[in-house]
Amino acid sequence: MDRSFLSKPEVITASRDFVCVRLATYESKSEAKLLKAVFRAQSGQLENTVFAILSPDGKRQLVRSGRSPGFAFFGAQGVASSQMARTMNRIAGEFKVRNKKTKTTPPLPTLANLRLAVNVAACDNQPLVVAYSPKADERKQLETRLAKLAWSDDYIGQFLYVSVGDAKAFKQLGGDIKPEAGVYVIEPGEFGVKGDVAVRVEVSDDETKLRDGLSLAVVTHQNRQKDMFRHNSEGRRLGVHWKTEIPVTDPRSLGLSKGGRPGRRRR
Amino acid sequence: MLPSKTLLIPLAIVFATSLPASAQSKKPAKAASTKPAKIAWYGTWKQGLAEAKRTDRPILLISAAPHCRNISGMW
Repeated sequence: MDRSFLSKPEVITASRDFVCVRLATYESKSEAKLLKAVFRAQSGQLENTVFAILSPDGKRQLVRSGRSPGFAFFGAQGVASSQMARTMNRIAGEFKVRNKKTKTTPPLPTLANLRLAVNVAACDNQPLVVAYSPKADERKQLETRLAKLAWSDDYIGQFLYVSVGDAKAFKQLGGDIKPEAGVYVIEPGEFGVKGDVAVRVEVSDDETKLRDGLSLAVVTHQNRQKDMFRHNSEGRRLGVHWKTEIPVTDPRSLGLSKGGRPGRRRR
Repeated sequence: MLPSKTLLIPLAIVFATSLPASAQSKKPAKAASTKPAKIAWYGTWKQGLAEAKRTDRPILLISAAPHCRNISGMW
């Protein structure tokens, strides 16, 4: 995933006026259909990465779409990201975003399921907050409480979130977790397959305890630097194999040329 | 005679740990805000699109594969 644009402070600041959606490619058939419609790659296939800036109804492209922001914003590293931020600010101005102050808190931004969420948390090197309850209304209340913190200045962007209703989903984390209703903060394992419970907040705990739990998780989170070669080498040695929901179709991942023919793999 | 520096530091530690609970609970919150800012992402198109329509905000859309040659844990 692109790091040269999306980690730049000016782009992060500009993103606050947008609804930022990050999908996991090849993990949803319906989302794959959308992504192919948004960016038609030279190969004609859905490729590993997609970038777009869209109108609020999702129908109109507001800048050139591509594999990354680099398809729309050019120049040396700092120049291109500044251009991206300026463009985003201009677009936000056109939609008069800052004039429309919504009083309601946005919903908790969640991932699709726990399995995917642990993997994405490992990729992002971020802790994962799980709202768990087998009761739908209780789970909804947990999500509402977490949303207020998730969008606050102290915690915005610091966690990933997922809502879980089935206790069996926790089995994949390893260990012997017998989940009870409440909030779990999970530290993902290196390969995003297993995870450790770092913090647990009960459903009956008050807002102070919930806030303190999240704060503790942020402070104690270990920032792990990963090297791609070593990561892949170690993953293969350990037999790690991520099964995607739909087949991977990026020619570069399949060892094909852009035209889909076997050829020397581009680096 | 003023206390020496070697006595001041333990005194400071004793004083800090005897702070009322409300003050102590504020400390972790301050630590959280010192982490670098990051983009806050919706994880599904359905949820993100619904929020964009509700608030009339434009959408920043990114997609990436959460694995490298089927080794998960890295984009």
